Amino acid sequence: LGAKVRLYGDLVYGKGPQISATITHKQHQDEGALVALGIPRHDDTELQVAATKLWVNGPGNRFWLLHGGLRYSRAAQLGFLGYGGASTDRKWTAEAAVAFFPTREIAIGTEYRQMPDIIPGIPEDDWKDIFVAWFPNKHINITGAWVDTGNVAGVGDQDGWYLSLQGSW
Amino acid sequence: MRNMFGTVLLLSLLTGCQTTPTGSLYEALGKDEGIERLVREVTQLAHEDERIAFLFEETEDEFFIMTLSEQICDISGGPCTYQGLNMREAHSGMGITHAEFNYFVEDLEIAMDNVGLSTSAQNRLLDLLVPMFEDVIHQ
Repeated sequence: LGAKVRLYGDLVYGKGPQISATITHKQHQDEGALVALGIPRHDDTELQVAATKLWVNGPGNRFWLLHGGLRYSRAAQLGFLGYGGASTDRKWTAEAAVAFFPTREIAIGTEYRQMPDIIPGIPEDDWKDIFVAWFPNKHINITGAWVDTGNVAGVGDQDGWYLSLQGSW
Repeated sequence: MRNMFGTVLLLSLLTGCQTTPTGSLYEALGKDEGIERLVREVTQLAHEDERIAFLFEETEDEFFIMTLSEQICDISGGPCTYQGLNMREAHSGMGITHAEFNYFVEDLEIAMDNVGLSTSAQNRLLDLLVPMFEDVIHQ
């Protein structure tokens, strides 16, 4: 559940980037599992501020997308492992992405996302990925990615392949 | 792991450099003939696009095709001088919205595909049209 507002600028036509702010409220589906792990919160609200810019004639005469954001959160593994304890312990983390479009239907890019590493005893590493996304039309998006999530729930060096199909109408 | 990211970025930058064309955009668009074909195509598509067709109802097509072709010839480095109205004057009283502008760009993208322009040429042309946005909408 969330709300996103465009604060300033335009993705393509503005002189600077488009700035947006997002407030998200997330709730874990299985509170019992988190209680068993001693994790204090199963839902929380976070804030994100992001700047995004699309160049239509970037290097190689291709579309290039640059995205950077700051997130104020205390989620552990995006909230899959719940949320940190006291009311004041949210952390600012940074994330960035760059992508280029060999054609209008295909994007190739890489993302980096800092993680707050907020819960003592459950270390969390920053996430990195390389992705290829295909937009055969306005409604469908097929994305393949190689994701490195580092240490997840005490199991070190996790990485793997990710494939998603998204539709929007 | 870090090397892999570096390699991908480096590869994309290298291929970027290799495909950078050196000729004028005017030539990449197929000179006068290619430009007119493109403008004719997008004019046709705009008339067929129910989202923006009303904006072209009173357009004198042949005059529009001639002046827009001349303008594109001019800004793409061709041997023409655009003689028409500036973009503010040309769209005065039309009240074109951001969305309608985007619909026209979509039609232009389809037109550029239909006449077989390369991705590079398409993006170079779009880049020349981006700065006109502010003078076209809400006039």
